Amino acid sequence: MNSPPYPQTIAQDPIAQVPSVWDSDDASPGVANARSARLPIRFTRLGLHCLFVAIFAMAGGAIRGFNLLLVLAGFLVAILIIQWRCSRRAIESLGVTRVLPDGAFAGTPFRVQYAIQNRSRWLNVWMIRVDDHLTVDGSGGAVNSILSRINYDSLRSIACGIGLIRIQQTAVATCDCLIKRRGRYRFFDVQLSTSFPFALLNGIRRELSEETFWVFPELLTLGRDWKQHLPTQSGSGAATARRSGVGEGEFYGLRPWQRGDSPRQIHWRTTARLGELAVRQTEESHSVDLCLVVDAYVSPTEGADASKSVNTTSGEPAVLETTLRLAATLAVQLSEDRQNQLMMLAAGKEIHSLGARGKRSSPRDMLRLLSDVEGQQANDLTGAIQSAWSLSGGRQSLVVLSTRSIGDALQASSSDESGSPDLSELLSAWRRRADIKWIDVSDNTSNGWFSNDTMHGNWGGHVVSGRMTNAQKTNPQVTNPQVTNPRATSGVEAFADWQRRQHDDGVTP
Amino acid sequence: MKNTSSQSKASRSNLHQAEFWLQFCFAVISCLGGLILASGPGAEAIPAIAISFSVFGFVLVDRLQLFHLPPIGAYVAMGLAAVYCVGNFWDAQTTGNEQMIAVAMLLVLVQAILMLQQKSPRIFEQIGVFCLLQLVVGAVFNDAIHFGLLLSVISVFAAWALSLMSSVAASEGIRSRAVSPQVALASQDVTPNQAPSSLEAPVMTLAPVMTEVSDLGLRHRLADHWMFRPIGNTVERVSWVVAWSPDSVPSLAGASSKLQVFGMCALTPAILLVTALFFYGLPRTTSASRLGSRGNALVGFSDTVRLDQFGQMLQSSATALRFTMTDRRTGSSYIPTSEIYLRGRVLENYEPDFSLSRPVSTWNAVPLGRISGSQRLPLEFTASQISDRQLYDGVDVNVSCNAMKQASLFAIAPYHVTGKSKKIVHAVDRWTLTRKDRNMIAYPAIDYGFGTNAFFQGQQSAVVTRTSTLGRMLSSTIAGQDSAALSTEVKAATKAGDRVIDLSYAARSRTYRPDSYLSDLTEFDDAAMPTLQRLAQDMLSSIPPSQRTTEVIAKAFERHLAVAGGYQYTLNLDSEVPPGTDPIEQFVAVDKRGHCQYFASALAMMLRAVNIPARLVVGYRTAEYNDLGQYFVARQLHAHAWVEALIDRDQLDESHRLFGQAPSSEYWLRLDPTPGDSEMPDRSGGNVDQVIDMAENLWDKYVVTMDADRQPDAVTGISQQSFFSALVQGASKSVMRLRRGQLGTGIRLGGWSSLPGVFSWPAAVMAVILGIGFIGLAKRLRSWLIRRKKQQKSNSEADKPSVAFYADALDELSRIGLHRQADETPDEFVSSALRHASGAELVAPLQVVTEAFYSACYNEGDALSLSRDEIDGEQKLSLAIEKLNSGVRSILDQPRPR
Repeated sequence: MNSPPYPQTIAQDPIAQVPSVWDSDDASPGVANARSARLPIRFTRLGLHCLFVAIFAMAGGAIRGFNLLLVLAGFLVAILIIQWRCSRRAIESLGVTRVLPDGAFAGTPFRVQYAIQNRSRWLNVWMIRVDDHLTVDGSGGAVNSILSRINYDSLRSIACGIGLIRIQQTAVATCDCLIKRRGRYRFFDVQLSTSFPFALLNGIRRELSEETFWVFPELLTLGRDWKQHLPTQSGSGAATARRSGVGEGEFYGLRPWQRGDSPRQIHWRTTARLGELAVRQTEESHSVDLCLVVDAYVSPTEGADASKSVNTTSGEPAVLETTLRLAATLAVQLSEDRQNQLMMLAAGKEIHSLGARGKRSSPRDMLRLLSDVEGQQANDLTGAIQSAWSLSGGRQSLVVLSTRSIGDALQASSSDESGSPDLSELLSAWRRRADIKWIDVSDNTSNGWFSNDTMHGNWGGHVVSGRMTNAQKTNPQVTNPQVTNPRATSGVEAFADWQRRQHDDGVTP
Repeated sequence: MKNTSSQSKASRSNLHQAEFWLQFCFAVISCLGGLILASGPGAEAIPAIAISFSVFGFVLVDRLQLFHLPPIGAYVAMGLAAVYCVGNFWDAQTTGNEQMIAVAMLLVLVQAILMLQQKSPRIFEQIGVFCLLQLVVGAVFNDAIHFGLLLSVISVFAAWALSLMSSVAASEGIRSRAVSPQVALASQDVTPNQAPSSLEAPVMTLAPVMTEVSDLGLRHRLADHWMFRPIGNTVERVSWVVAWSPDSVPSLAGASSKLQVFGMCALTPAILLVTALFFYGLPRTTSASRLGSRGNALVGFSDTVRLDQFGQMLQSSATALRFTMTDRRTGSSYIPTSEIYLRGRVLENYEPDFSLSRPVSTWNAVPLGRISGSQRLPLEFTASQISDRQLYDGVDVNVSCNAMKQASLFAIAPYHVTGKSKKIVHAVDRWTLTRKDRNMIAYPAIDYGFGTNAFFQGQQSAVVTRTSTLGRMLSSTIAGQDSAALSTEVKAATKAGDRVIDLSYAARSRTYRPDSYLSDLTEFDDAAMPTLQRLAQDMLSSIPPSQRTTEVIAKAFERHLAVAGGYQYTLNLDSEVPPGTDPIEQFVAVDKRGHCQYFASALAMMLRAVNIPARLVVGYRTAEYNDLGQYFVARQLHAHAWVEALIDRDQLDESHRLFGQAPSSEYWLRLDPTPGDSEMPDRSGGNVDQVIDMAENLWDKYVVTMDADRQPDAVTGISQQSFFSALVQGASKSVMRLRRGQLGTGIRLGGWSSLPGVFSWPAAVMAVILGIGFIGLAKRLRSWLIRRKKQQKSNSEADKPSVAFYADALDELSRIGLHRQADETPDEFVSSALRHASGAELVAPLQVVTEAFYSACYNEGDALSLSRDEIDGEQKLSLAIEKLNSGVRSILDQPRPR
């Protein structure tokens, strides 16, 4: 099993406390240390023309004594000198920090922000262009060399700009992006350039800043009764019921003692304080405690039809993609309730696992796991089920999202002569408890409780935390979808909002 | 939503405004580039084409978008224009000027074709490049001041346009919009929509699933390269990532307007300074060349002048020369009270040509000896008696003569050598100057100088001493006679060892005929001019014998022609001259109207008729003074002809002051028979004309004709003197003048022009630079002090905590002056808040917040992890924060004590 190297800490407040590329000691963990390089000033096309004319005028004026040519040459030389100094000074005084969201859903726009600092004490900087580069990361991040990780065929650039940054100020340039395919991507160099003031020379500064970015599977739209398709007895209540037969439920308040109340419900501290009996009010818990296993099986026929792509994680069959989308949707939906305990495993080319009994997995990590899943014909579903049993202690419900029916899976397992345990035997434990649900995504007749409509058509699309709120219903046809919390009017607020959600998720203190 | 739509509106407005100004600037540049090529005859069509196509392109193509020339049409049109223009270029009979016109026409036509195309950044660049080429051609062939003026205006608009181009360059390829993902997913079309603005990249549609990867790599990278990118819109290729930035293009477009202001105010002085340093600091290896002057050189005066030659000259206001006159004693400008006569050529022989249907007469100069016409200027005559030196004004004259087709220059006689007389030579006894370098097709502009004692109290002397016999001997023609025929005087002078005489030359001179020149001056054909002779005789006889001196006779003739004879001055010479009739005879007997040549010729003939030696002098007579530049101007319309009569000393009137020149037995008396008021100086021109003239003068002097000789003067502003010594000298002179009550001649124009010599451009530039440096230093010092103070303050404050609600609380408390120091723990901060005057009432909620902060930092699980048994933990925190905020607000709302 491979645990993806997900960063454990997040940059605290990327805007207010921009980790400067010059202050490597203060760089927040999780943000790749950046190196900067200032490239030589380059002539633009018009600048080259000016230079040629200036040289010609200088030569002609000096040789033949045409003073007006010398005036013209002097003028052009002066402009070029001023342009050179301004460009150089401007580009030297700039620093940039890329602020990426925590992730994005495929097909949903997300916003990349660039905090550009002007450290100059004298000069405003004008007409700054930001060019960023990203590529598909097919290496899993294991290779250390930057050059090895760059997939040149898939290298793309995105661009944005700012008109003016005043002295000693920081401005934020934004670029909205949309990536269609889930997977892991890598942002590389951020290039700042300016041809201020006369567009004759281009000053370029390159910040070698490498960051990994995940694009999660698109979310599906779930029907109202989607929970009914999960195992009937789930959650801590179910486990408690199995142990003690009595489910006390969730505490939510106190009330005076009434006849018939169980003495066990008396809240003694409050009783002592008030001088009269007070009992706890509880609500039956509907929390979910389950293990989600994704069977990333690709049939031979589907694998042959898969589109070629430079993205190693794309080109997967549609069924598998739908499976992953369903898994992502369930992970997001179930994570809304903090009481839910969710563990996830995926059986594809490799077995990915996340979470353990008693430990709450963050939806972000689960989405990242799903982003990295690659389908395979001979996937080790049995091994994944076995891991699920050992990690959950056999106490969690099991939900298997598969691209095939359970029969096909059992048949494939039985025909496997590698000596691995029988899948049927592994599943029998859950079967006996009726605590398993096998969802065959390829079976269209029984899967009416979810649809392929992308969720962001109906939701505002919170991408940073992966938690969809009820307040974000918008029109289906969004001409310019808001990619962050619409309530946020600035990058600072958006990230403060994100940070609060991180608190809620228990990611950071 | 309202804010978003208003922002969007403002963004669109910025975009459209930037687009408008970009199109406008390049249209103006295109127009002005054509104007700068307009010079001289034959180039009239060029500015017309430039203006019309600029206006046409801007209005119909850019703004109204009625039509535009497709790229293929543009290429075809450019090819045709090239064929048309180059065809003229290679013609063997095409002159240099016509070749220049062909090149200029080609540039203008190509630029006109560009203006008809739909504008894109590439087209704008090409328009700019062609404007540069037009400037180059204009700089070579057009040295008039309007090149400088147009260059200034073009520079302003070019800087404006380039600043807009920098925003275009920065926004290249940045999309500002994208369609809905749902719509895009359904679409299979990857061709982008047409962009509404040339500044905005095309709207990007999402690409379908990428199906082919074979087109990626080098081919696409080359296609992206700017050299290979086609002009106009490009087809977007398939991409797995779509990016757009709604705010970028409006931000860039909006900043472009502020950049223009910055460029104008901050960068213009720097550019001008560097340009000036480059131009005046670049070492010169050749003399200044003026191609433009070759076709436009003035006619000038040669040794042969036709009688009707002045008619054309007198109608031209082109400037022939500018000269300054400086009183040698005071150093100030010397301004005569009457007109100034500048002699150019002296003509002795009158030759009518009766072979033509309309007889034409010419005046020719007697051929000079090889040496006599190329002498150094004579030395200054200094009166032996000191009292005599007060009876004339020593004046230094510096002349800037424009390019002419003749080598003759202009002088005020009698003159003497000064430091600026190196390039000129002097003709003995004629008192005319000529360039040292002759035998050229056209002569470039020249600066020279001489001194003269011809003035006294503002009046130019009418008499010029005749050169001594010795000097005149050099002007004789060589004849083959025995040296024994040399006159006694010559022999005596030779024996005295006079260095002027070249003994070997004198030995080679066979014959010295002192009367040969005089015979030329008295030559008169009485058969051809009977009326003239009769008139002269009649006037002579009307003068009483006792009063009949040569000068009286000459003056009587002069007065008759100028005033009493009923003659009329006119430039219109359309009267018919009967064949065989001498034009002067016709003038005197019949027409009685003509210009100065006729009057002067008639007077000369009348004097010769009574055996008074007389010769014609042609040159300029001017009184035009430029108060701004403090110099005189002689234009073509100031060309004049007058007469000089040779009069013995004893025949001269006693009123003539002869102290400033060497005494002689004979003098040349100037006689000007042309009717007209010549008593009051003509300070004409008007302020505007003076400004224009001075600008042309400065342009010519400090730009067009700048060479290695002038460079030190231009850099230091004062010739042959150190900067500081000249400054001191000028200051002392101005003090002396103030003491004398003289405030200078330019007082009505104010200030600096009345104190010449004190104001110095280098000093002014230095003062400006120092002033700017001082202001910058003060500003930097102030900002450094402020920054240091802020840093000290910020160093003492604690970093912003990571827990949001605690950070908000601290921010709120900082509004009332409560700052948590860097070395304070949250608990300690609570204690210090308790001690703060305003903080006591806030301590309670602050304590709750602090406890919650500690819990958030150090307790596991969820934030705000108060005891699970406490149902109001979260509510308590919210209440505390609210109480804190309201407390701060109430403190701030309290009226402050005075």
